[in-house]
Amino acid sequence: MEAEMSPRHAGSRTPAFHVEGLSKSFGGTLALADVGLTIDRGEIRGLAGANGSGKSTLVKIMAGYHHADRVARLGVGGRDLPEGFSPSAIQAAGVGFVHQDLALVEQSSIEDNLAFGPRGFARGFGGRIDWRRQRARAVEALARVNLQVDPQLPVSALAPAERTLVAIARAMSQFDHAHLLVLDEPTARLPHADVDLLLERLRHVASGGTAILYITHRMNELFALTDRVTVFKDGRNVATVETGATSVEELTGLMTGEREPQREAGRFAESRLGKPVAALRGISTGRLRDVSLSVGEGEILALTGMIGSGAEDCGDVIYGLTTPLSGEIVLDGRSNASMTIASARAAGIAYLPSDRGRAGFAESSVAENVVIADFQPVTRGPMVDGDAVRRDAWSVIRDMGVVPADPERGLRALSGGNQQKVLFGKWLRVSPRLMVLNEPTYGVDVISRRELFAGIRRARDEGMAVIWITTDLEEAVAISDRVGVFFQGRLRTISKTSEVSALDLNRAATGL
Amino acid sequence: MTSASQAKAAIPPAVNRIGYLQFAQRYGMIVVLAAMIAMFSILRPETFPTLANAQSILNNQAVLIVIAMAAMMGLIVGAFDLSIAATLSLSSALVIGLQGQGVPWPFAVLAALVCGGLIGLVNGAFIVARFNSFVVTLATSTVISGIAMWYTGGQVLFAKIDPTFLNTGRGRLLGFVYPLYLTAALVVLLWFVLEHTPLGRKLYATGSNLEAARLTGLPTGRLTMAGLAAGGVLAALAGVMQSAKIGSGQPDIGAVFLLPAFAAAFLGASAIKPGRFNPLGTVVGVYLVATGFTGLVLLGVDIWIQPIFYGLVLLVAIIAPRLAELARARGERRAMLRKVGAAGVPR
Repeated sequence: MEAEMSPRHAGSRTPAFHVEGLSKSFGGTLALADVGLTIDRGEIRGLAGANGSGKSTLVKIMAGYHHADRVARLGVGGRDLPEGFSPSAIQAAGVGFVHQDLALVEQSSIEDNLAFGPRGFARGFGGRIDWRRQRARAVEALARVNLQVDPQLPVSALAPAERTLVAIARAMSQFDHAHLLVLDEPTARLPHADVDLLLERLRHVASGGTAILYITHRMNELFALTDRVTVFKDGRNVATVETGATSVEELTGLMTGEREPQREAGRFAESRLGKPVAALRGISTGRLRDVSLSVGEGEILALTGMIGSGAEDCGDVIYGLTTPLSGEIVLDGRSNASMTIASARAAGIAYLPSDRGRAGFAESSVAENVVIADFQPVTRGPMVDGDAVRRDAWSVIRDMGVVPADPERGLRALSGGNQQKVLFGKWLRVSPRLMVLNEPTYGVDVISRRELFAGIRRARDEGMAVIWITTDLEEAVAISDRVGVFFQGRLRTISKTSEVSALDLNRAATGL
Repeated sequence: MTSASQAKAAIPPAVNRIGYLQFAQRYGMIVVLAAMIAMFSILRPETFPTLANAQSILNNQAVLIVIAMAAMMGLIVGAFDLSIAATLSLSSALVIGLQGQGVPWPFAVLAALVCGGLIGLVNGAFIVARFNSFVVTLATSTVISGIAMWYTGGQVLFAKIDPTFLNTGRGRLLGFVYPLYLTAALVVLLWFVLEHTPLGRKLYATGSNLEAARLTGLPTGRLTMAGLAAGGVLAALAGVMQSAKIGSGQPDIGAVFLLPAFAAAFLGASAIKPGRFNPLGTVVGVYLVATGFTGLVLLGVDIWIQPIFYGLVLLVAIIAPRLAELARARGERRAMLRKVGAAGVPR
């Protein structure tokens, strides 16, 4: 299928996994069209592509969750699976999976979690659990990912990166030899500092001969970890490139299909801080310590820091989701000891939570999601005017570039990025004075992300104040006019974005 | 931001295309109902397709429709209100008992409805405080039943009923009982409010994702209370209608309505507006079952067939949309593969 060779493994051409002529469709959309992919033994392969490019579909077929419509050839460890193999046969042949949400039982011990898989517990006489053998197995499994913790600890006692490692250990311990390990956005919920640890352990795993298929939206991780990167677009494998011989621009170009990839619009040069819209004065909560900041008209203020640093708590305080212990929230010169959602909405504040399940009505149509925030403009007398609803929905769809452009489509049927565009447009429609966005690009592909950036900048230019909360320092720098960094509940620095570097921010975020 | 005027130019015309599968989903139950009427008319031409029979089927379901609306109101805001049956009973006892104590009948009716609304508010308060609606209304239901028993002394009340009151339940216009007109008006009103006013959309939003509704700034507490209070009033109204129909107040009359009411509401969620509890669908659900049952009785089938028939119809109603969905997906997949094949992909 593919002619390229990985330099590191040029000698060993046994593929860990190969597939040819794989097709799959859902409803009216072709998710995978005649896809081929070969991953060498011990290779770390990145898989990149926009949302809806077919990455997840491939993973779900490999995991036996979906049945391929058509496949010419598919094999694990160099051996073809027999024709008409069952969906679960791929996984059983030695492919381990770590899904985004890890699927660990937090209250259970590490060793229990390791045994919650097809292989189960080591059994002794009469079906009882043979704890001695089970413990040995657990220790061995943890050693493979170089994790030294007491297997009897509950998973809830572990740091986020360690939990991911337990999930990896579990995936690998299901086989005598795991040919391939598939990781789907393993760092999406990981604090910045933990990413490096995870990447290092993954290299350790690969050096043991297990190939890794690493799926991520994050460019820096592709470059830090992988040997080669495969790019999917519109359900096709458009290219596989040597990581050392490519660039961010080239990969973005392959993903978007643009010959000259558009660079993200230049950073806002001079902060044009208008009239202050909202300010926190000496706010303390369970997590925040004496935080003061303000955001003005026509400005994007990014708040960043590691998970749990307190950045997102600021949004919660302003929108009335958290009641501060002390301090005040100043809106239009009036100070409030605390907010409620109702008072925040009345003051023209909009809030987009990080979890889209909490923001959108999945069962309802795009149009219904758009108008739910305010019925005033679409009500004639006592009635909701269907034409007005459609008109408002269309203007959101067009302004934000929502795909598919169908107001009657259920929100659930849209990709994560497009759902986010709808929810973002829903708030823009009510012309808020301040919009608080919490991790707005989580699970959003590069193209949608660019459209979100453009949308928020347009709104900013029309005078809206924005608080953009993210754990991604590079994103904070890319989007904002000013940026504040949190560490352990305190606002460490706040400065014009044009005057700081990601490196400075990284230091502040890690407490250096 | 997105001004209305600038948007006007680019709106594609409203398309009202629905595929045959979607049509089947929306109107399938009505088609089945029509087929059933046709079948029974052929099998029992002397008794089934008569005006008297049609009137009897339509007239007899008024109370069930109203109590099903009560169940539906709770379900729309995401709550199971099990207390509607007990509320019906208490209201039935109250409207007769108060007349026996000399209260003019309109005030007795009003008192019963207010009582139902209060019960709904109490339930709503607990549910807003995030207690499980199933358990809360199970508890209040038991308490209400006890109160109804106490109020009636466990007896059937039928003393000193105002004949005018009885007439409201039994009088006919054009062959249909008055309560049927009231029920029809109620259904239209509920349909209008739920489908065509902001209040209705907000009630649905609260039930479909409480957290999203809250974060959007909807007054979810008040909306939940409103849904349950409306359910309580409707349940009480069903009790009043039942009392006027049978001419007595009975402290345990509601129990037989509980499961059919919920069954009709769920059945209704698979018609007209599939996936959503809606008044018109609920009415169709009630009459589908009533017609089937009456037809079967006329065919000489025993009375125990009713619950079995109800249960089977409900199962079919939830299975059918899924089968339709699978059929649609399979059709589209085949179409897609043909397209891929045409594009020169090896087979």
